[in-house]
Amino acid sequence: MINNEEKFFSYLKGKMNPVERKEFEDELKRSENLNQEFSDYKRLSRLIDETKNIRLSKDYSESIITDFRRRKGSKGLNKKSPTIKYAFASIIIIIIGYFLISQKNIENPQDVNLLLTQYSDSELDSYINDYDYSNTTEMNIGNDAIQRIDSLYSENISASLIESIKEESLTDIVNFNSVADVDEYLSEIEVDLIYAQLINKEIL
Amino acid sequence: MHDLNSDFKLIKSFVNGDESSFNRLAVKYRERIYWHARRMTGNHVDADEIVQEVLMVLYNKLKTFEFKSSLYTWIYTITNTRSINYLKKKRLRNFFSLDDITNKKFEQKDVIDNLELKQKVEKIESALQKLPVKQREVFVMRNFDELSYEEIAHITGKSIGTLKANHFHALNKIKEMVKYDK
Repeated sequence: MINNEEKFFSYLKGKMNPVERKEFEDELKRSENLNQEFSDYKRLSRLIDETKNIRLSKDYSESIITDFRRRKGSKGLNKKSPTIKYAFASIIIIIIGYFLISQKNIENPQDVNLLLTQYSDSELDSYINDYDYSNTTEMNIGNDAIQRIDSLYSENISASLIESIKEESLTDIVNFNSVADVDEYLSEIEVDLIYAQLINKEIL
Repeated sequence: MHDLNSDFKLIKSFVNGDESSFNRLAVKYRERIYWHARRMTGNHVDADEIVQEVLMVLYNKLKTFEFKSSLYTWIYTITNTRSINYLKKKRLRNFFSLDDITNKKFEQKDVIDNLELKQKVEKIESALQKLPVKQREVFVMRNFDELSYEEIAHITGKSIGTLKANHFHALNKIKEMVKYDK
């Protein structure tokens, strides 16, 4: 397929010189397909132009700075413990990662997306719920612990996996190099809630 | 073209202890931060949260800004990174079904006065949200902020070939969505 976007973009933004402009206009006259493609592009471009420079309401604009100053003032009161956050971020990554990778002895997390796209939603749910734990001894994790983890997370995981597959973004979740980033994804309240779930289910 | 002299003076003044200079910088860039965040997240509540995060980063790191790029490019890069992190964070919260709990404290606000414009924004937002994040990112930068592929590559750290491929797919999908959605 030919990518004509750059031509369309340059033409509409007045970035073509007169010779290029003339050539493009001649091409448009010759090709009905190109003409149609250009019409679609113009329609989208018009919508974007109409919505790109919208001013925010005065009330909201003014509230941004006020809100920032308020948050800035109260920031010191909500300081989190980085150690606890890192610990739980690590636990969460390990649980999710182990669960996903153990499904098919996947060695490379990049393969997870590819593998999971082979399953329909119902097959995936069924696979997760019927998972055989026979290979877990290799990971030095007891079967009981794994089954407790599964009972807690199977519903969440299956729903999230399906969503992730739709978004082609599962590897974003199973990125073992980003523990530090995950730390930023969790608020103190969220960490507490996950911790409470884990304790209630006697996983920790 | 962004006013480099003005930015330089405001930063210098802020670093020397004048808090009102920070407010003036925030006023100058708040709308651009908001709209990039909003196009990436597709809703006001998340965009508002990102605006606050970005302002906090600016406040804490402005002292280290070295003018190797324009202030706008720096702010834009922070906003984009924060938006993507926020989306990942949201996915993680969904993963543990925490989203309902954390979103209850927010309320949706009307930030666009004009009803017709509001509908158009919702139409394009809805189409953008159907794109994968990496396609949405390049589409927003290219079509809304009119950045060149070289500038986008500098901000995102991705190759121009990858960006063009992502943009190609994004454009085709959005054209179809806008075409059939009256």
